[in-house]
Amino acid sequence: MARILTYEEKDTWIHRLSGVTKLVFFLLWTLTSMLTYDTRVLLVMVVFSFVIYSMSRTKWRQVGSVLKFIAVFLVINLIAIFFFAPYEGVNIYGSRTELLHLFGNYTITKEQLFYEFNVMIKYFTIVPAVFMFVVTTNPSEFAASLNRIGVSYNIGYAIAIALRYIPDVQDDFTQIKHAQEARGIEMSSKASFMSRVRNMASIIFPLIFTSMDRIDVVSNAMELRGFGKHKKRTWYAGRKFTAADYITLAVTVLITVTALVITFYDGSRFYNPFL
Amino acid sequence: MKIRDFQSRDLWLRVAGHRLVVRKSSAEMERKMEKRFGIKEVVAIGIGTALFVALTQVQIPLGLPNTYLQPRMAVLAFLAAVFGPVVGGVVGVIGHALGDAFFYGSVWWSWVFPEAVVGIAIGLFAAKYAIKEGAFDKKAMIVFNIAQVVGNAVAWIVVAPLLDVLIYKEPALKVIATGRRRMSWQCAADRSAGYASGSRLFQNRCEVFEP
Repeated sequence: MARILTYEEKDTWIHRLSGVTKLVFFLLWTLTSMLTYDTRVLLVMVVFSFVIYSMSRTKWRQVGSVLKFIAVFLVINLIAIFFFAPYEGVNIYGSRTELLHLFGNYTITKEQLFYEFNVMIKYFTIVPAVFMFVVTTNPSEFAASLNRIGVSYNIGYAIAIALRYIPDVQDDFTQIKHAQEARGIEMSSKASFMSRVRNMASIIFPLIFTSMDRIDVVSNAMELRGFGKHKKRTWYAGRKFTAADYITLAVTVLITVTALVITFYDGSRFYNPFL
Repeated sequence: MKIRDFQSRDLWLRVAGHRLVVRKSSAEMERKMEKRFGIKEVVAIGIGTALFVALTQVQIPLGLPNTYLQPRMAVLAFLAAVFGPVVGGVVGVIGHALGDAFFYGSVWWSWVFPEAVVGIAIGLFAAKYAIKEGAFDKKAMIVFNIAQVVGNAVAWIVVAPLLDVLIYKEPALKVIATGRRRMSWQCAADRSAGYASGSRLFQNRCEVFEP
């Protein structure tokens, strides 16, 4: 199983930011890029995304496998959009410039290509932001930050545990899968559907039991150390807000507001170059 | 509620002629909550979410486009049945959101919350299943299956399309409305077909169509 994104210690200004700042950036950034279809806004955001991404000094090996997965997914998605709604672009931009007739009811139009281009660069704006948030935020520090902005420390801790244990659970899954494959179960597409479901169950059940064990071990350890005794707790990994945090927050809010104003001032989410 | 249970810190509300008591923070209540939400539940949410997220990638294609059997739904049902509605709901929300973010690079919010509905619905009857006590008998299985069918139906046939409309289709943006509505009703139809054929594992991924 492909390893997913995990935090890696580095010393850049992005790593030094508080987890709250990065969370706010992440939420506002994805919200903006979800709402806007304005090509100009999106292109500016793409540039920003890549600048920030390169500043975070993220290495290819950290994100490569996930990126490849997303790339494949993006291509499938773009093709699927075309086959499910070949004239979405024509509807949106209100004009029709045919480029190439394919077959039956399918004609490639300039409007459709432009619409799908927008969908594509939406991915390019969000993906670096997600990567950056995940690989630069220390899970423990993130839990501390969540608690600081008023989230119950139980929930903060649960999220930190989740982020911390995803790779471990993935390792468990791979090990169990290999063990079962060694015993002769077939997990590839060669097997029939029903036998794949059965074989999947022979991986999932051991995985669930291992995880239940893990829950016992971790909660016993936490109990021994007196977790949950008091209403408040202090955080080893907590981080104070610095000037850089305030500046980042201000710039993020500014970008979001500007982007939304530019997007919506003419009453449409779309930038229409075909007028 | 008996009168003598009432405490001076409680808040009284009058809603449509009915008198409601909203208990602000009685110590007794808090102790009860604590019991229900202890260390084990915190860790269960954590590890459960990790499990849910890790299994996001594990899917068995059903032959229909973008429709997969998702084993992670079984894990969610199991966790909810063992640890109750809070764990079920929170694992659903956080797990789906993180899974989307890690594997698809964006979060489809109107599908995140129905996941919680499933978790809560199954978890509400956790005491009835008595799994920890080792007594998951025939009666418990019947309750479990009713809960999961109703929960799934409400989540994916009612809540998900409703949120699709609320979150992603503001009326001012009529331009894209038709396309997306068609998409989301189509999803609803697919999903109900999935559930009708009797598996709680069904969940198709219509959400791939737009980031």
